[in-house]
Amino acid sequence: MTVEYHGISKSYDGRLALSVPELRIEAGTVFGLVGGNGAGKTTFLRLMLDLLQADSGSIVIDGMDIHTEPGWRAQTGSFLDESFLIDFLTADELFRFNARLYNVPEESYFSRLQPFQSFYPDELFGETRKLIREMSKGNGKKIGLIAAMFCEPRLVVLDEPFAMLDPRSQIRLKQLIIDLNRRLGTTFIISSHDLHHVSEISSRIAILEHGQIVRDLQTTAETLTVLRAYFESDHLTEIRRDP
Amino acid sequence: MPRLGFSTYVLLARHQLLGAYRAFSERSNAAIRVILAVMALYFGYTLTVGGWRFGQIVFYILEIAQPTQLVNDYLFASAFSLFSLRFLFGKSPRFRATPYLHLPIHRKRLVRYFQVSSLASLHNLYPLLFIVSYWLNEVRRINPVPLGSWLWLGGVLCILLMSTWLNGWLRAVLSNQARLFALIVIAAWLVIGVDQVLGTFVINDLSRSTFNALLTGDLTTMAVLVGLTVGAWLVSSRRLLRSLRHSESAPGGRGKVYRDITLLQELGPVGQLVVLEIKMLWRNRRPRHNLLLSTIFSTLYVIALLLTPGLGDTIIVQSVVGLFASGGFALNYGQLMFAWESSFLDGLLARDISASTIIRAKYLILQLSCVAFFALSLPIFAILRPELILLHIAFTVYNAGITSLLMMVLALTNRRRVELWRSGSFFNYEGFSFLHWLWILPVAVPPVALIALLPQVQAQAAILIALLGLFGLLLTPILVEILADRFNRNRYAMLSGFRTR
Repeated sequence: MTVEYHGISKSYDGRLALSVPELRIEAGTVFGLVGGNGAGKTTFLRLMLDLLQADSGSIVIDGMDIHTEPGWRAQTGSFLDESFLIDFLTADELFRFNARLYNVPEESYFSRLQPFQSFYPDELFGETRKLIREMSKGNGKKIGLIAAMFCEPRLVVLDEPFAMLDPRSQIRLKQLIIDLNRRLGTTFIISSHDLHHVSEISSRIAILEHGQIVRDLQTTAETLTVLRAYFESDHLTEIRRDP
Repeated sequence: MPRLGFSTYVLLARHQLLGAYRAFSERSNAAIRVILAVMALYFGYTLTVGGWRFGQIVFYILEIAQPTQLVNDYLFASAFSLFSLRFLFGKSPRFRATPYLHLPIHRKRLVRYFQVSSLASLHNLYPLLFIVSYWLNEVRRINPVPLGSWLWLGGVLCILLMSTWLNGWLRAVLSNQARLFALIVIAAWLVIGVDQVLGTFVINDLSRSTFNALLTGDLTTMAVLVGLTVGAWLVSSRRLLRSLRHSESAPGGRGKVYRDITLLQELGPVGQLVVLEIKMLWRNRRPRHNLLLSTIFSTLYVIALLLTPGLGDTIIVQSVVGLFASGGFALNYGQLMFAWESSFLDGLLARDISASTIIRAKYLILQLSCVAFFALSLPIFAILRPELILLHIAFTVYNAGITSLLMMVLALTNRRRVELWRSGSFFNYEGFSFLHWLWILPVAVPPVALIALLPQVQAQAAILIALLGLFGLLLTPILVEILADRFNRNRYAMLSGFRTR
């Protein structure tokens, strides 16, 4: 699915949080979003999911204005934070809930879940007993990530997917993202602080700084070096003062 | 564990005062603050004057020259009423103590502080204003034994202290042992109900003999009251300490098998959301306690009102009973619709669910609850007051058609987050605003007033109320779309408010 930002701006209490004049993310892209704390990454993602109202501009997903044409939702999976988990459900209940909403046929329910079993090996899918709130933070996050991806939506939006995961799970998650992207052409939009992981899976990376995209890079073998050089430079240590 | 001594209490008190000041100044505008302040002063003034002039008031109404016996008769009953009010509208010390648990403050010190600071409440201040001014003008002036009048005042203070601390204890019981809590409440209601219905009035006799003994300077009675007060302090402190430890552990963790409600799941997205809401209600402490409160309202409270001699025969009380018997859940739970989902509404709205579906599911839950609570309370009406069944049916239809709608409209203004696992009390105020208190007027006053204003044609008034409800029910599909449109306009503000912890 293509995602377009047209003249988007968002401020909180007069302070600019995000300004994206024009941006187009082609279908099938794994789009990485990096930036410091408070750079506007989560605002970028929340606006795209129509969970925040922009001050101006529009966001269009596959030709549908997100605000007026809700059809994009049936094709979009997302996991930004724990508010995307319904923590009084078991993993199976959450998956079933999503499967019904996204019209996953009963006969392909388990086959779609199966690739994710090794990502969450603690309980067998179909026999999960723990409520999500009884799980560790990391395991809860894995359930949220699986719920966002296993219905095979055409667009997946993830905020900090690698944070809090153990190394083995981080590697497995990268494989799952790459597999979905290659097999089904799923578009991913992923914000992350982990430059290594994001440069490894993304085909395009944008650096967000003080609410603005300051670099937009097609990923090459040099991207990680470029990103490191950018974040090691002195200009980021400037103290920003409110007007 | 550092020992900070008395300065710990000063630090906590300053922090609490600052928090209370900010909560008051940030949550309401200047006009409302002024209104609240004037109301508080007015109530305080009325109670002080009422206490000072109580002798004259009693003489004027009942032509009793000495009101002391009357007061002594009803002090225990008043304490019980105050206890119930405090339970419904007070805050749990545990709820206040939780933010300090990670700090290097000894737990016992925290418990002591919050036990003492829980006394600083309007539930104690207002009764004290009445009692002290009454004591100054009546008891101290008339009672021949100076020591006796001081003991009488001490006895009333003991009752207030016990009421405060036993309330904390009962809240802690509710948090950890809901069944034990239900047993205690039912037993208390049964004892009081049987005492009143059989006309034994043992509670009044006990109250009179206790305070009469104090007036004569009986130190043994005083010692018993002091002992009971110390006991209340000890049991509630112990419970509070235990519940503070309990509140650190993750909720749940029982590893039990959770059953699904497959039948409703097949009813499409609306059925899915209804099932989700039922699971939310049953698996989380605060909504579950809300359900318990609604059940008590629709059963025990109805029994108490209908059985109280004189009270149950008044048309207004019968109307209030009618409203609450079937609408208790819609009124309690419905107020916080959407706020119940505040911890996961972002995720819910990012999924493929339309606003109409969400509204339809919530509306259905409120309407079905009216039917369910009608069925629950019907045997009570059938046994105690069969002549009120028509009124009960009329209010059920009204609640399903109109009360549910009004609660949905109110719920669309919710902006405050509710933590599902945190109970603290039935009414811990989390998620509530001033509007929630005001909203009872348009919800309760019109139908009750209609019945009360037409006492000669009560059956016709009941039918009129039922017709209003039926009209609301028939309009449900249109109302759902209107509410969905409103929800879409409010959703960003709701989401933003719910994200704020």
